[in-house]
Amino acid sequence: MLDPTAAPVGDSYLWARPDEHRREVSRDLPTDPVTQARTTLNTAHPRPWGWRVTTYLWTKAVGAGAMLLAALAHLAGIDLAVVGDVVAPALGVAGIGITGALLVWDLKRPERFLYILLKPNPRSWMFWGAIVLAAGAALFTAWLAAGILGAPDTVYDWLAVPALVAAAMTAGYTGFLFGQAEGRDLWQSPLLFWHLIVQAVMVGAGAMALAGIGAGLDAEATALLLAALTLGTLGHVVMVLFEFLGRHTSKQAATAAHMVTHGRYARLFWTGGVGLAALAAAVAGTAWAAGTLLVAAVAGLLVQAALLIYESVFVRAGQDVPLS
Amino acid sequence: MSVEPDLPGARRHEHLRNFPPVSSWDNHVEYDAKAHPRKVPHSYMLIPTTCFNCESACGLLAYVDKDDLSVKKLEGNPAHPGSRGRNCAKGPATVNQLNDPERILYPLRRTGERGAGQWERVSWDDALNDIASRISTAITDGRHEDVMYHVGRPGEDGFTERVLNTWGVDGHNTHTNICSAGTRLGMSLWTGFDRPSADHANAKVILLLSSHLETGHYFNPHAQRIMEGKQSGAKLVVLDPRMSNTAAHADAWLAPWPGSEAAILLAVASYLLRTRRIDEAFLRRWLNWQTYLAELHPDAAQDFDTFLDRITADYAEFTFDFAAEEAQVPVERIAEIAEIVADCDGRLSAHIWRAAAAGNLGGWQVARALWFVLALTGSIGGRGGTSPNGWHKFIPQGPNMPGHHEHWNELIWPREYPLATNELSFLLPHFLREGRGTLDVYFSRVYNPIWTNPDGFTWIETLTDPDKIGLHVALTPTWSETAEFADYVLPMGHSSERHDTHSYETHAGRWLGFRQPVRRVAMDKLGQDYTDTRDANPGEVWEENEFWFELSWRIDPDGALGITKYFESPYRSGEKMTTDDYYRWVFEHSVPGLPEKAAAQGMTPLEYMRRYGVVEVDTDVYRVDERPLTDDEQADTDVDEQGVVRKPVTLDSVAPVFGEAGAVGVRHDDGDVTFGWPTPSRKLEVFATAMRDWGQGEHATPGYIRSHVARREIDVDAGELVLVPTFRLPTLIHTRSGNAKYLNEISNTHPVWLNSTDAKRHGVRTDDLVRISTEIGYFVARVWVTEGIRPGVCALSHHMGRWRLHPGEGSRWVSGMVELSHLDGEHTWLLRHKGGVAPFDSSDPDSSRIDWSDPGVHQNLAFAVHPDPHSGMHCWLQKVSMEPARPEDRYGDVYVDTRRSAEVYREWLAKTTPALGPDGQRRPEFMMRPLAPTRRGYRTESPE
Ligand code: SF4
Repeated sequence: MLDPTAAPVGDSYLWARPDEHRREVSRDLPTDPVTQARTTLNTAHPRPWGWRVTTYLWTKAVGAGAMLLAALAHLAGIDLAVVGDVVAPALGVAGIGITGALLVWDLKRPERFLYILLKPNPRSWMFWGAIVLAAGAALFTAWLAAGILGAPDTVYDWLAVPALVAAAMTAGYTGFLFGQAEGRDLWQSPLLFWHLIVQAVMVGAGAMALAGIGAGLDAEATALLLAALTLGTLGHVVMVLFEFLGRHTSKQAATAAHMVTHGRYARLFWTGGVGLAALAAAVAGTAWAAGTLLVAAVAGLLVQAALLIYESVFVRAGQDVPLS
Repeated sequence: MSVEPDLPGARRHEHLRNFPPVSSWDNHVEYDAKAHPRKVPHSYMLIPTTCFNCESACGLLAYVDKDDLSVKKLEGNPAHPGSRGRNCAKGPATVNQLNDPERILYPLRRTGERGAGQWERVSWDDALNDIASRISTAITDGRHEDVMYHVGRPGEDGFTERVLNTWGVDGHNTHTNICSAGTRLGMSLWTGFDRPSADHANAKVILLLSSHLETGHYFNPHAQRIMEGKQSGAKLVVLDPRMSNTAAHADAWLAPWPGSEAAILLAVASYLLRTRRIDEAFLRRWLNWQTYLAELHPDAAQDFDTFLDRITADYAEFTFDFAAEEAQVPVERIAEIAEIVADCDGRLSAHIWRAAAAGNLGGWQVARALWFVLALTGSIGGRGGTSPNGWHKFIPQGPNMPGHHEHWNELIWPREYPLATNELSFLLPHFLREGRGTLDVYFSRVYNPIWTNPDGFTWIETLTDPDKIGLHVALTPTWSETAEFADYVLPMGHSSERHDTHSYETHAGRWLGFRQPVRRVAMDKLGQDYTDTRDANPGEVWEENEFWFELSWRIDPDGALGITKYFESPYRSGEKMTTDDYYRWVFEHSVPGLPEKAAAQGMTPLEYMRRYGVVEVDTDVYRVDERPLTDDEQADTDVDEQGVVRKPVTLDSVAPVFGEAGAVGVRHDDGDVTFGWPTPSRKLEVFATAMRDWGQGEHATPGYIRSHVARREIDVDAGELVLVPTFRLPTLIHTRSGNAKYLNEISNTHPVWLNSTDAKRHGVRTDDLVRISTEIGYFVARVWVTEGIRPGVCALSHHMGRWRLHPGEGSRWVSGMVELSHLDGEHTWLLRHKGGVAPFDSSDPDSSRIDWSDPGVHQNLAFAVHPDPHSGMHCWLQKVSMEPARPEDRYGDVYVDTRRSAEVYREWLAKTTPALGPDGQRRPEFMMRPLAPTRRGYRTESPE
């Protein structure tokens, strides 16, 4: 099999200049110690996915995470009051709305976004993702309406399980979508679906902790949010370390991971992605022990930044390893 | 229903075919890709022509839109037996050259000083009359040699020679001595032919002293056949100090110190002799071994076995160890190559054209040594071996051929270089400065000596001196640095805008290709009127053949000079010859088999050539030396003491293209009389009598002349290196690809290749600027650190470093604006770029999308002339010293002191020993000479 990583680009092609992106990426790729082989000519392959994908991973996570916790709380009989009835579904609807907008914007031909539904390809998670987002949007809107209109508990009983599933899928389906990006081996992890849900819990809880200040939540509700924030953040950190420092299924994935942990993204990844999250976990844990949302709000802010930074690295590094 | 002809380049796979069938070539419909998804059909005529971008002359097939006669694209011509439907990147890029928004569309005449960038549009009539009257006066005054035609890319074999013969002018100058004169001498001495024709496809071992798989003559046709050979199990051996694409495909790659190649080959030869892994029968029959013994071992027994013993002893000094030391490579690698070669079973196809033979003092001995190995292994002339080009190339004759002139132009063929196979063209400015002559009319034809030749500033000094060159006419399809200094710039067409024929030794067969103006052919087919090719070309772009016809008529308007009669139609007495007349006659009378092939398809020969663009003349041509002479050939002959069969000649006889006048064959010891070789002995000359006869007897046998850049000449620790400035890119060609955007897009930087060990010693890294100093100046380039070049050697590719002095005088796709200044007096020159390549506005929107900026470094300016004292070949390799760029240096700077270049010229000239041969002959008659005079012309004084 031809392996494009076997001959990384040097500082120059033979007779032309590599584009700056490829040049930078190649500095992180090991050369063969014997052949020192170099790619001598290629065309520029800019990363197709950029800040919009990074951002929607976050917006989606916040909205889905918030709804996940709201639905869980209802099923567990914990009253999150206005935070559960209005804030969470509002975050859910806004999250999906912004995500949808970013997704359409990110299409090469945005005016054709309806083709996803009108000319569906049922083997593509692009299509199923649209279904998931549409279902999520409907359920979260219903939840929000129920909250605003003060609907009786039975409405929530009906909505809780579908909303829980929709929230989980809204957060997690991207794992399957990324899995379909063949050749982008960093994204092929079987844990990605679960990891996305953990991330959603982290940032969803963070947002709700912020909203919960002054909302008069009872101890049980407070504990739920603090526990979710602490454990979600810890879980994220542990999964990140496991994913990036553990064994990789392919050379491509290992190369991308190495670029993240030791290469061009290392500083951003360790300080912004991992360091901030670890700090947030510690702060959240402290708040949990103390039972105070005020301190947790700091962690709630930190995790948003940590996830955005992490996703920006994850999205870029996944596309950096050359495929040709 | 007509049957589709079986074309050599046509391939099918299931229902797919790689080319439209010939039956649809007059009306081929394709949908406009840009209109997709709408289906917009376009109707094309597919008209073949011949690529002009390198000498391989591959077939092209132009898609001419019937609506507006635009050329949509050019693909390969499947009818062509050499290129077989394929091209390199440069072939299809012809379409860029046709559509180049910056091309020269009208004749221009200088209005200011030469080189000042001031031009006016002039009519062809005025230009022709002015040029013709000057030439006419020169001829009338007996100043024939004041007229010179200097050609870069060669045109049709014999065409311009025919024109110059009608004028009686010995004024044919070429670029060959900056190209291939080294190889030509080495090979001529052996065989009388000056080019190899390797049968790569059938070889067992392919030995390349070049990057032949990716560049060179005949790149695309040979590359196909080298790969075929490899697929059939041939081993590929490559000698190249650089890890070229070719080296990457080798079974054995040796990166020798430049200039050591002859030592390596002689070590292989010595091994073959020592181990007697030689083809004794071949050597006994075909080597002039008797002369070898008589000259070098007169006291020994004069028999073949003694010859073998003596020659084995004579070459014993060329051990593997000796070669390894010269080449600075492990001795085992030399032994490995020798073993591969020894195992070739007479099927060694080998090629050298430029490379080491064009780089080194004594480089011609590399070719001589290579043919020694070919002879020893019995690989000459047979299937899978290496033949001379003369067997595999076909040269037709034009109508009403003029007699030969009897002049001798010493500006082109000076006495110092009697054995130079070709013109000492690159010394022309020095000769003019020495007062050896002047030029009244100087044509440069697709030739850019200021840029391509060494010592370009001396060219500028000479071309701007009206006392040395009265009128400089640049015939060119594109702007060039040289055209900037011309008096007239006359636009000539690209490959699909002109007529000529070509034939090259791409394989063991013969073909004749036809280059034709495709729009004009389409106009013919559509019944549209035109007067000449100008009516079919953009603007007033013309073609040379019609230009020469017209010019010749105007030189001799009343026929008094006896010139015009050669340019009369063979079909319409007294009327001017047209290109149709000319080629109709050639194809009807001068190409064996063509009239029959055409008739079989119901066409005239000219129609056949216009349809297919090529005709195959022969296949499987081997061992022509063994062809028995016919009775006719033997009639009226004598056999001399060496067995050479000769017809009587006089001083008015003319030598044929190859061989001596009158010599037709050789009688062997067994009584066979065969065609033999066009050498003086009609044998393969292991002892070259011509070297002896012209006072160079110490080099009469294959030998090793230590190069001017041999390892011991280079003080690596003092910062010295060998610079290889000649390696080529597969995607660019000399100075003619500047206007091809596709090509510039993929090749647009110009780094100096430097091995990591050398980079470390010099303390430089990739992208650092360095100053590289030569004998006469320096240039500033950018480093690329790579393991792809051997330590001690750096390399900077040919093909880049283009510049223009004034806006509009060069291709902005590739060149940078520069200014020239004289820092330390008039004889010193500094070229400095004012900005690199940048996007520009034009009718082609792509010109605003240029994403490259590097115009490269014009290194050749900083090279002094190095004429090899024997072959006259310019020895390109440079001993240089490298240092980090100084604060005042800018990328692309070139600084030269032309007084110093004149000194170096004189140093190299002093290495020669001017000599006349037997009967006061200026050069050996058997060696090919473009525009050869009668035998009288060869002699300084007529013995009569
Ligand atoms: S090798 Fe390339 S440039 Fe040369 S004639 Fe063939 S197609 Fe043209």
